[in-house]
Amino acid sequence: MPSYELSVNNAIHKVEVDAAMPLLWVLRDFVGLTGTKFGCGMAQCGACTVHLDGNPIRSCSYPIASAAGKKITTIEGISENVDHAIQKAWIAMQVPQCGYCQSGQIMSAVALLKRIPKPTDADIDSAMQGNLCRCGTYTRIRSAIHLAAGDLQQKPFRP
Amino acid sequence: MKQLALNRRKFISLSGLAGAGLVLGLSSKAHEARQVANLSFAGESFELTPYVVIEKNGTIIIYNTKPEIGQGVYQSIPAIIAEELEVSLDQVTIKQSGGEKKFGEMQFAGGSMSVRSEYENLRKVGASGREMLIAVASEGWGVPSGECYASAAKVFHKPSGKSVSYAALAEKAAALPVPQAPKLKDAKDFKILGKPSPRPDVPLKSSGKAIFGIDVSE
Repeated sequence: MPSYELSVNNAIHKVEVDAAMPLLWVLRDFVGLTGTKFGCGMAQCGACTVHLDGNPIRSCSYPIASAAGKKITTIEGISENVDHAIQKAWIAMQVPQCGYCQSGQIMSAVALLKRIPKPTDADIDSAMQGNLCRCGTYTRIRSAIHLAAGDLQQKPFRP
Repeated sequence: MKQLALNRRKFISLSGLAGAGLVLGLSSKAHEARQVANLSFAGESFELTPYVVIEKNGTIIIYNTKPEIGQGVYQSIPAIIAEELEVSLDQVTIKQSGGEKKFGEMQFAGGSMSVRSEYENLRKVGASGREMLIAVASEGWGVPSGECYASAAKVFHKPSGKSVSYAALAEKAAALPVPQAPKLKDAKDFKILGKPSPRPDVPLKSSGKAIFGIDVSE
């Protein structure tokens, strides 16, 4: 079995797994990070989105052999205390419903804001269209991204 | 150790009833079934009912026994209990039950029934806890329980203004029998129910910390 050194959230993990094993399986079953979800298993839904050198990829369909040597960031790695700007906006807008797709949504949104700090609705739709949400939280996702980008003075949800 | 007040036959009959609760509607008898499990002490924490555990350090744990699947029971079930228990949601640590028998056989969700079928029972759970805590406080002060009221995880003595925290009362309260017919609050006095509040599951679901079925390996 080949051996790989992975950089996950700035920590090095050594794993011995089949070269074709998807990165998602390695993250969940070998590294023990279960925040990233298995959705469709064929890069169609976005639930498994993580960053590879800062770019969003679908980890369910990404062989581990191609991920080795690159910087992998998962939902667990974007903040210590759920205080990334995107997470704060997610909470303020009460985005998640069932929550299963949200790790992937957030990773795509974080990558979007890095690329386009002040995205338009069209930018958001284009960047986020690969992340499906069965609960239909899309409008809240869009509002939260605007809120995180700081260009929307939406009143956050408060009792 | 507390004495087991129910015999095996009654336990089985109540357990069976709880299992059929979705069809029958939960009766007061099914509420009684919850008390079957009011027996265990875990170190420095005290179980008022299976749903309500108060630790010596003051942590108030309320269990949600329904699967959270986006419908919001992680908030609504504890909120119903908290309302009657007289604790604010900020003072509560919500925990998810894991199928333990003491929570009964209704640990599933379906048909939009979770709140509709359990509303009355969960209020009784919270109200029972409140009455047990007030009973201990009033006895300690040597005053009638009618002169006491509960608010924000404390019991107050109205005439004197004295107060005592739930944490200080929990051990003795957990040793009391659970009141069968606790007095429920008037809806006009609700502080939590019917008012919007941020969902406690949202931070968990925005950080990968929420545990889904696929994340459980043992």
